[in-house]
Amino acid sequence: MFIGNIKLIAPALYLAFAAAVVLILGVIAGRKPDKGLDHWLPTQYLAPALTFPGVVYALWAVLKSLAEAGETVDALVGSELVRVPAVALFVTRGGHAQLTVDPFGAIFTLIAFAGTLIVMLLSLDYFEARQPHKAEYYSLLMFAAAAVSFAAVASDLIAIYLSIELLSLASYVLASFVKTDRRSGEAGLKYFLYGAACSAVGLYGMSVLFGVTGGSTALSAIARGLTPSAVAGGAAWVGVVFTLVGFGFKLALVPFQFWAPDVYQGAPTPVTAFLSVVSKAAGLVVLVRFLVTAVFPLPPEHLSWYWILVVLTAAAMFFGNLVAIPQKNIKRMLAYSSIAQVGYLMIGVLSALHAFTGEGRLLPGLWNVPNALVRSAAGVVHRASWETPWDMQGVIVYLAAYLFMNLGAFAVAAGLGRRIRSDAIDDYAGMIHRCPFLAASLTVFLISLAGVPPTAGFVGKLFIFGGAIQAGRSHPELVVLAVLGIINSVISAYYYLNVVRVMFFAPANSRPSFKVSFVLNLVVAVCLVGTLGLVFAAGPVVDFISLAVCSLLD
Amino acid sequence: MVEHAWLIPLLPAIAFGLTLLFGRRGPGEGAYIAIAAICTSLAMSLIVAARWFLAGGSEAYHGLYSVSVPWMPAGSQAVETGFCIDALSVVMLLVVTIVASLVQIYSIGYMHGDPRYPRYFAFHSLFAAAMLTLVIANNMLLMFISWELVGLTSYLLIGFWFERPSAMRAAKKAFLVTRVGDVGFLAGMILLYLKTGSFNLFGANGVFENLSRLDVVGPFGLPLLAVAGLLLFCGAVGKSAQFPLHVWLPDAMEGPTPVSALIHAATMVAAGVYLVARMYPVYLADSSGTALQVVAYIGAFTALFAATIGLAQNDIKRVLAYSTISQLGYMIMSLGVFGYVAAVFHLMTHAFFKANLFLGAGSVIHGTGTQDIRDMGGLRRKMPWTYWTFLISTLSLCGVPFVTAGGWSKEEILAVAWHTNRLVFAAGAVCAFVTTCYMFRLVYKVFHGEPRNKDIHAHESPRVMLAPLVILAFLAISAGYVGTPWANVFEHNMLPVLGHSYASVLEHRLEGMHHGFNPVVFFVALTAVALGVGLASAIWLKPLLRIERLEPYLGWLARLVENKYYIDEIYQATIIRGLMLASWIAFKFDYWVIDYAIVNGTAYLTRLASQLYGWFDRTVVDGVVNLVGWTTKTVGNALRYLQTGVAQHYVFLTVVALIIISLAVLAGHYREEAWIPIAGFYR
Repeated sequence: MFIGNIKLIAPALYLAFAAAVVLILGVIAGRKPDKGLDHWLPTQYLAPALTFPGVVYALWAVLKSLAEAGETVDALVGSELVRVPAVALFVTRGGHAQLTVDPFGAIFTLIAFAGTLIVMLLSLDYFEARQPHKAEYYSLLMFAAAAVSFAAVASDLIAIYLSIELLSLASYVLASFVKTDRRSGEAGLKYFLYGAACSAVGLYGMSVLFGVTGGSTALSAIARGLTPSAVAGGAAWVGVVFTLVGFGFKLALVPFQFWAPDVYQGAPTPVTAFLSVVSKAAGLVVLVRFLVTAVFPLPPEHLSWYWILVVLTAAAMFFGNLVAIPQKNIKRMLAYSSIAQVGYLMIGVLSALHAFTGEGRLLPGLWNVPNALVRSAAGVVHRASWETPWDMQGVIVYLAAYLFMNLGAFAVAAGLGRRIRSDAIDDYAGMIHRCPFLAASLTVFLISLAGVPPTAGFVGKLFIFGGAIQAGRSHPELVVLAVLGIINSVISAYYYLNVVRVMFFAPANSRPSFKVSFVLNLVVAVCLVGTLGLVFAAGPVVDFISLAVCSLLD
Repeated sequence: MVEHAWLIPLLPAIAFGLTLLFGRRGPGEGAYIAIAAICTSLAMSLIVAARWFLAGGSEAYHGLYSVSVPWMPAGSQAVETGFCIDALSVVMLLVVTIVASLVQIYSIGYMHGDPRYPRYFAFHSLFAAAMLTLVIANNMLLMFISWELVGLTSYLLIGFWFERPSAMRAAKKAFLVTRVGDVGFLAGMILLYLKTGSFNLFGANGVFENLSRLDVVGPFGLPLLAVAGLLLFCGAVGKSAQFPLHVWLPDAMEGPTPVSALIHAATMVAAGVYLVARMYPVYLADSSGTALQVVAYIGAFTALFAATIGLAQNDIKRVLAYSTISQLGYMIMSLGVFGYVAAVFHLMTHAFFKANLFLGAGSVIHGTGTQDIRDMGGLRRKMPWTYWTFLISTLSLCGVPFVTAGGWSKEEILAVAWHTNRLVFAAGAVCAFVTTCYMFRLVYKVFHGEPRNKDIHAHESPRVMLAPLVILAFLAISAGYVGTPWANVFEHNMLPVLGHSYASVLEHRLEGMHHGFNPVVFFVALTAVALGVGLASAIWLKPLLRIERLEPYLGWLARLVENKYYIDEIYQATIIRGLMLASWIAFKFDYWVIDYAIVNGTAYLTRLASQLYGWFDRTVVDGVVNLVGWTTKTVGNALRYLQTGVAQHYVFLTVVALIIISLAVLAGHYREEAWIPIAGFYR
C-alpha cells in the first residue's frame, strides 16, 4: 500500500490526539472538581484552546491541498507502479485511494472544525461550570469533529462507513448527555434506534455494491465496476439507493428525517447546533463524493435514482417549511427549518452533478479506463471549458453561510433558553427590550435563513438557485426545483419572521432585562460577522472554492 | 534648496493643521507654530533667492527650474503637477514670506486677547501655504486650486469677526465678486488646455511652447490668443479688484487690519498682477495686441478712478484700500504697455510700503480705537514711531524720486508708458498727482494739527507691532535700489523669465526705448509729487485754500466722489435687483406650475388610481393570499401528525418509504425505452 502525503490529514489526526489528551486530563481532573488540575487547567477551556490550532491547521491543509491538487505522483503499490493524484492517501492495488484530501474535502474539514469550535464556546455558556463529565463531553465533540474530517476525505466505502459510524456513536452519546433530563435521554435513544436501522440499511447497500461491482470498496473501483452488464439486473441501483439511505439519515433528508425534530428538541442545545451543522456537513460531503466519484459514469437524468433525488429534494423543502409553521418551540422550529435547508443544499448538489456528468463532458467508452486517468482527462476538458463558475461552489458557499446563520440562531436559542428557562417562541415576547443584542442578532440570523439580502443566506441561495437555473438550460427539472425553492423561501419567511414579530412587537409583560456572558456574546458576534460579512467576501470565497471544485475532478 | 522649494508652502500647510488641531494648547496659543513655520519658509526663500541670484543658480538652470510628477489620469494622458523656480517665483516668494512673517509677528500684538486667536493664525498659515503654492506652481491647474484657496482664506479672514453683520456681508461680497472673475480664469484655462493639450506651462509640451495653436481667429473676430488672454485677465480683474469688479476690496477692510495689510494690500490682491505676468507669453504671442490694450486701459482707468475716490474717504483703511486699487491699476496698466519688468518691480515695492501703511494704520487704530480720520489729529507726537514709518511709506507710495523704492518703480512704469502709449502716460502722471494729494491729506489729518476728539487718548503701540513697521519702512526705501535705471539688476534677472523667444518679442516691442535715466519722466514725476504735496498742504495743513467755499458749485462732484461714483448702488439696482427678480420669477413658476399644476395634479391622479387599486387589492388579491396562507397552514398542521414521537412509527415509515423508492428505481430501470439507447450508446 502506498501511504501518500500523510500531512494532509494531519489536522484530523491532531484533533483525535487532542481529544484523547482532553479525555485523559479531564478524567483525572474531574475527580476533584475546582481543585488541583481542574482549577489550573479547566477542561472546558482546554478543549477549545486545543481545537483552535486545529482550525488553523485545517486552513493550512486547505491551502496545502490547493497547492497539490492536480499534481500526480508515482505510487509503488506492491510491485505495481501507478500514477495517482498527489492528494491520494493509502492507495491500494489498482490505484484506488482510500482517502483523497482534495481541497473540496479540506474545506469541509475547515467548516467542521470551525463549527465545532463555535459549538464548544457555546457549550461554555450553556453548561454550568461544574457540569458533570465535561471531559467526556468535550472529547466526544472533538472525536466527532475528527470523524467528520475523515468522512470529508474518505473515498472508500469502508472509510466512509467507519468515519460516519464514529460520528454517529459520538452523536448518540452527546444527544443524551444531560442524564438528568428525561427528554435528553429519550432523544439519544431515538437517535440511536433510528440511526442503527439506517446504518444497517446503508451497510447492506454497500455490500450489494461491493458484490455487483466485483469486490471492491474503493469508490473509484466501484465506478469502474458499474459496467452495463453489472447494472443490468437493477440490483446495483437498489444498492445505490440503500447506501444513500445511510447518508440521507445523517443529512436528515426526507423521508429519513423523522429522528431530527425529536432529537433536536431533546438534546442539549449546543449538541443540537452541532448536529444541525457539523454532522449534516458530514452527510452532505459523503453523499456528494459518493455520487460524483462512484455513480459518476452515466448521465444522471437517465438514472431513476436521480429522479428520486429530485423528488426528495422538493419534498424536503415543502415538508420542512410547512411543518415548521405551526411549531411553538424554537428548537423544533429550527429542526424543521434545517430539514428544509437540506432541500436547498440538495438543489445545489443536483445542479453540480451535471458539471461532472453532463452531456458532452463524458467521453464514450471510458468505462474501462482507470478512474484516476478519467479524472485527469476530464479535468483538462473541464478546465478548458469552465465557463460557468456556478457548480459545486454553490453548495460550499451555502454551507458556509448555513454554518454561521444556523449556529448563530442556535447560539441565541441556547443562550436565551438557559436564562428564561423556556424554548417556547411565545416566551420570546419583548425580547428586544430584555436582551437587545441577542434579539437583534437572532433577527439577522433568521432573515439570513429566509434568504434576505444582504445576508449570507441570500448569497448562498443566489449561488444555489443561480446554478440551478444555469444548469437548467439543459435540465429543466432543475429550473422547477429552483422555482420551488424560491416559493419555499417565501413560505419560510412566515415562520422566521414570526419569531421576529414576537420579539419586537409582542408585549413583554414587564419581564426583567438581563445580561449574558461574554463568551456567548462572542459566539453570537462571530456568527453575526460571518452572516453579514459573507456578502462582501463572496467574490474571493468563490474564487477560492472554484479552485477546490476544479480539484474535485482530478 | 532650489530643488526642495516645494517645502516652502508645505511648512505653513503643516502649521495650519497643527494650529487648528492643537491651537490653544500649542506654544503661544498656536501663534508660535504659525510664526515658526512662516519664518522657516522665509529663511528657505532667502536661501533660494541667494542661490538663484547670487550663487549662479539662474545660470545653472538657464533661468528656469521646473519639475513635475504625475498627478491624476485624465483620459489617455496623465495630468502632472509640479513647481517651478524662476526670477518671478523667487521675487514673489520673498515678498510673500517677508510680509507674511512680519504681519504674523505684528498680529501677536494686534490680535492679543481675541477669543479666536489660534484660529486666526491657522487661517494665516493656510493663506501663506496657498499663496506660496500659487507663486511656485508650474501648471495652471495647481495655480487655479491655490488661487481659489487664497480666495477662501480671504473670505474666512474678512469675516473673521463674523459677529458683525457688516463683516459677514463683506466676506460674502468679496467671495462672490471675485468668483465672477474666476469663471473667466477657469474658462481661459480650459481654452488653453483644449488647444495646447497641457496644463503645464513649461517644457516642450507645455502651454507656452504651443501657443501658436491658438493663433487662429475666434469669436468676435478676435484671435483665440486674445480671447484666452482676456479670459485670464478676468480672473486678474476680480482678484486684483480692477474696475468693474473693484467693489469688494473697500468692504474687505472689515477684516482685522493685519489681514488687510497682508492679503488685501501686499500679496493676494497682487495675485492678479502675478497671474498676468506669469501668463505674459500668452499676451505677447497675440500679435493683434487687443488683449494688452484692454489690460492697459482697464488698469489706467482703475488707477485714476480709484485715486479720486480715495480723496473723499474718511475711514483710514478705506483710503488705503482705494489707494491699493489705484496702485494695482498702475501695475496692470504697466503690464498693458509692455512694462512687464516695471509691473513686477512695482508689485514688490508696493507690497512693502503698502503693508507698512496698513500696519501703521493698524497701529493708529490700535492706539486710538477709531478708524475715522475726522476723530484723529496730532498723533505725530503721541505715536512717533508710527508717524515716521507711515510718512516714509507715504513718500514711497507717492513716488518721490531717488530716495524711495516706490519712486524707482513708478518712474519705470511711467518711462515705459512714455515710450509706448502717451495717453496712458498722462493718466499715470495725473494719478501720481492725485495719489500724493490723498495720501498727504491722510497724513495731515491723522498725524498733524490738534486732536479733534478729546475723548481719545492715543498711545504708542507695543514693540512687537513697531518692529515690523520699522523693517517694512526700511524696505520701503531700500527695495528700490535693485532697479535703478543705471544698474537695473531687476530687469536683467526678470527678462529671462519669459524665455528667449518671448523676451525677444518684448524687446522688439520696446525697441528704441531710451534705457537708463529718463529726465522727462523724472521731471513729470517730481512735478506731480510736488504739486500734490503743495495742494494738500494748502488745503489740509495750512488752510490757505478753503474748499468749503466751492461747495455750492462743485458740491455734486464731491458727493459723487464721496459715494464712490455710486457704483455699488448701480450694481444693487441693476445686477442684484435683476437677479432677485429672476429668482422671484423662477420661484413663482416653480410654485404655481411645477408644484401646483404638475406635482399636485399627478398626486391627485395617483391617489384616485390607488383608491381603485386598493379596492381590487383588498378583495381579489388579499383573498387569494389568504387562501394560500390558509392552505399552507392547514397542510403544515396535517403533516405534523406524521411526527408521532414513537420511534417504531418512524422506522416503520422509513421502511415503507424505502420500499416505495426501491420499487420506483427498479421500475425506472426496467423501462426499456429509457435504458436501451443509453446502453447502446455507451457500450
